[in-house]
Amino acid sequence: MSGKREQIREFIHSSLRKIINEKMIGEIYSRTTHRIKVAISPDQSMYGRQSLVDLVQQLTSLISDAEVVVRESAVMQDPYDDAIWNFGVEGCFTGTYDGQVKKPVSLDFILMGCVARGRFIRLSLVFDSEVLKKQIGQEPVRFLASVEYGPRRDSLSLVPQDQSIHPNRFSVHSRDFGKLSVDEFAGRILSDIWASRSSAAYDATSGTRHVNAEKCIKEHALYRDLNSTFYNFCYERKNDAMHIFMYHDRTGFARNYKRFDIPVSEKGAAYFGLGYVQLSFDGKIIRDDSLVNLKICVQGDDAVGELVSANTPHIE
Amino acid sequence: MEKNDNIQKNDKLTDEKLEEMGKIEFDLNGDISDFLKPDRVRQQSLAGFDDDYTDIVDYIVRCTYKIWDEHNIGLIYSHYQHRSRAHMPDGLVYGREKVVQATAAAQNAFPDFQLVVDDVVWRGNDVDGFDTSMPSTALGTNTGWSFFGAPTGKKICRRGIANCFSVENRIVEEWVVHDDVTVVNQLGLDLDEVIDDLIARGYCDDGDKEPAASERVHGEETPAPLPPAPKDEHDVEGLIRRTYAEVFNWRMIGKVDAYYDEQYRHLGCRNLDYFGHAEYKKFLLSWLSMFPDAEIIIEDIYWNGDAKRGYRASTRWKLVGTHLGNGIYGAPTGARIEVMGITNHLIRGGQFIEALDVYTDLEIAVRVERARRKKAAKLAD
Repeated sequence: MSGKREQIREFIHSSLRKIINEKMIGEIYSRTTHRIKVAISPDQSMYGRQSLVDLVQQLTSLISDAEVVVRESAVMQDPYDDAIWNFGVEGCFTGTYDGQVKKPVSLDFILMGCVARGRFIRLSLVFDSEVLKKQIGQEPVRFLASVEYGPRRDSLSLVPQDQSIHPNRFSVHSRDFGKLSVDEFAGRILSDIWASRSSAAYDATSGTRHVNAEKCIKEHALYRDLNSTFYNFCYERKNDAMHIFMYHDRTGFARNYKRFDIPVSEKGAAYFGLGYVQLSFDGKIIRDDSLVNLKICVQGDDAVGELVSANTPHIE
Repeated sequence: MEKNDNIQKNDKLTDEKLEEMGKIEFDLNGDISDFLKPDRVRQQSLAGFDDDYTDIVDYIVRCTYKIWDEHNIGLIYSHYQHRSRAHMPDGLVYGREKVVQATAAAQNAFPDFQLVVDDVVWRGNDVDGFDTSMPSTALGTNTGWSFFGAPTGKKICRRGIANCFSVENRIVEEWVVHDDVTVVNQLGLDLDEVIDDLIARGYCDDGDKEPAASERVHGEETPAPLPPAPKDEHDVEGLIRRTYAEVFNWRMIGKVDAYYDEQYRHLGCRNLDYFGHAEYKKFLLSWLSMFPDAEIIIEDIYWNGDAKRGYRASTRWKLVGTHLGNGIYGAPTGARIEVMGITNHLIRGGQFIEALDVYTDLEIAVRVERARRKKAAKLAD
């Protein structure tokens, strides 16, 4: 099993290296399925590998010396289908943005996805577009601006979840976590923080409590009735810690909050984020590098909210 | 893999043959190159089918590829019966010649058109015929004149489902639904203007057909008795029939909590996705608000899969209702509407995990708007 896991890990790492660092973009054809689904936060989703090829070509034309460095990764066999391997990657993307003025770029990212039969079948990527904007001094070019390739969310369909029932039901939500010895962790993070709004849950964390609590409170302040649903997990036990990647979907109603100087909206927003958490074997969070991009356009509205995709400092 | 118990039994089918057929599955993770490899050997009895097809899944995937991606439109002559019946969103298309014409027109509009097959759910045998359900994603660039008008240069990415009944290499009957409102939006067109144009062209004109009454509730009684609860987590048909009857026809919306996974994903028309119980309940209520007497009638169900990976089921349904409430089709018109829809579910552990739900959305909008204008014209008289 570990041999296969390491093969998959090497496949993921080498794919990033060849396609981005070595500019062998054509590798996408042999390393992805023809109907790959790609979601990129803040606002793009794509279907089909030609779309991915188009995107990478445009990206490398704008940042021709682009390089990806993988810092952490986790690989796990899918609990429902032995042929599928889920993975998460946390790393950094660097290069020179070749716009009107050349600007150095250095972006943290989290990538999650699935590999089956030697091909990527799904990818989800989050990076902090506000950081990119600051680094290049302008709005980044929106890749593939001609079409929304993937599905959207209907703000009208967004309804507040019944928060009262959530805390007790998150054990069902976290069905994959059930196999971990970190059930309690999942319960506390998901229930206490997101449903019960209790940042005190971070008492159990080591070092990152205040930063995480601030991030959490800020997001709740931006979105009324914020609901977070964790859809996918990937975790791997290594010698130093448990490395956990999480895909979560959030919905809520944007509200005005003067402190953040946000326009009154009350429009529904839906967005996804990717989380990377290092958990010590005694149940304490060592790192929490979740990337949640709140600046989401819903049904053609202007952006609501602001970005709090805070990469927490690595306090240990 | 467990045996597919959804295969129609037949005297001419031996146990070995049934066992063999139970293993024919669409590989959800496979690549198109797996289908296009030369010298693949036949995996399933396919009397009357072209020699190069290995099984019924391969037949559906590759004939779609040959006709659409490789532009061999003329293959329709050998893959459709001369008197084929295609139930299209705007009504019945009789005979294959019209299928040829419509395919050529679509490929002219989108010369780089790709019809990517996302799954094939199937049932049947080469004696009685095969049913197949094919969810797909259409990709293309609108550089030619299309059904909607002049070329826009815009790209589309549209979901759809085609259910076919095939005998000896030919499609005999077909049910097709597309998310065409998404196409209108992606082409950058104004939906109201498109509807105006379609009404002027007589699209979806049902003439003077008088609407019948809803039979969801018989007289002063309750809705029809509920079908039995699903026997166990393998009872796919039981789950679908019970859920549609109880949640929709009996208006027990709260039962969504029991029948749907908490992380349920509903991939709907207009390229909209609904996640979780709350959003799906809201979606159902929006329909009941627009069509308060609506009834769903299940026309066909079949499925593949196994307990571990999940069962992939295709349900073809008809919704009948009266447009009596506000919603996405505008102010109420009193129009009697019949909606053709196909929903392909992933079911695991006795619950719905995900669904692709496609129905005749654009055609409802056209029919409702036509009813509105007829009503206004009557009032003006």
